[in-house]
Amino acid sequence: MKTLVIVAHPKYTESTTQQLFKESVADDENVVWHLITETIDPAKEQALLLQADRIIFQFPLYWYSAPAVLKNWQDKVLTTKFATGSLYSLAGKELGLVVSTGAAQKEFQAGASEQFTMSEILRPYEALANKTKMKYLAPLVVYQFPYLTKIEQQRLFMAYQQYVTNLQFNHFSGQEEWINQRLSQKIEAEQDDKKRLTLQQIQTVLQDNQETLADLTLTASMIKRNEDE
Amino acid sequence: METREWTQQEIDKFIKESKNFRDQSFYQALQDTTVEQFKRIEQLQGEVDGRAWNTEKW
Repeated sequence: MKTLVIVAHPKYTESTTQQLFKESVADDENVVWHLITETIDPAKEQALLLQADRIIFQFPLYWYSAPAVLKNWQDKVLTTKFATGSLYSLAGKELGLVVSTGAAQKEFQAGASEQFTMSEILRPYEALANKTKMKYLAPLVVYQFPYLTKIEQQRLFMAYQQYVTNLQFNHFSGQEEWINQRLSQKIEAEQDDKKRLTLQQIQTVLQDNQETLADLTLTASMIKRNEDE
Repeated sequence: METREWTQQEIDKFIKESKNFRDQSFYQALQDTTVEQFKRIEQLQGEVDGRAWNTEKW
């Protein structure tokens, strides 16, 4: 799967969140990291879009929307002819959003200070995906990055990697399989024989658990089906 | 030692011995995944046992 990450951040070099994300996918050849500016060549941008299976808009939330640089990009690149019209060039691709905000997660609900949920605020992108026949992915939202502990940053680092590279990032079985594949790469790269052996044993446990979980899920669903009859 | 405890202890060693943020993040994710697996297995085994213990079907 090829992923295009469109980064729209007016203070990009100062953003520790963006640095963490960039580092997270730095050595992945299937990920194109694309920082956009005011200067745009629509034809080049469209060519980049066509090569991707998953397209991600990545931005800090400015007044409940993306910074102007992304809106400008959308208006110039997503022409009617290209995005809808008779071509529907983006049909079947996935659209993901990685959004950061300084407000706390608990504020994005009815009755709290922000009043609206993040799903409501990001509705224009969902509408864009719908209109262009793209599949809208559940957004990855980062709330109050500076307050994250080290372990929370590590979990975000991995969640981001999966959001960008894992076809099934939103299912536990997909996460298990992704970790399993990455573990195989670690085992292959490990120089120390003893450590390699331990990693192989851990992988056996991981794979056995995957199988046990799949079996148990099937058994539970069969029992439930019998109860319904 | 039980498999569950052994796995968590061994992954913990990899987390502690990791030389950089990237490796440490990976082993933490591996730990989180296996912990979640063991939890789900326990829950599902409980569900299967509970549903099988259905007096109406006796």
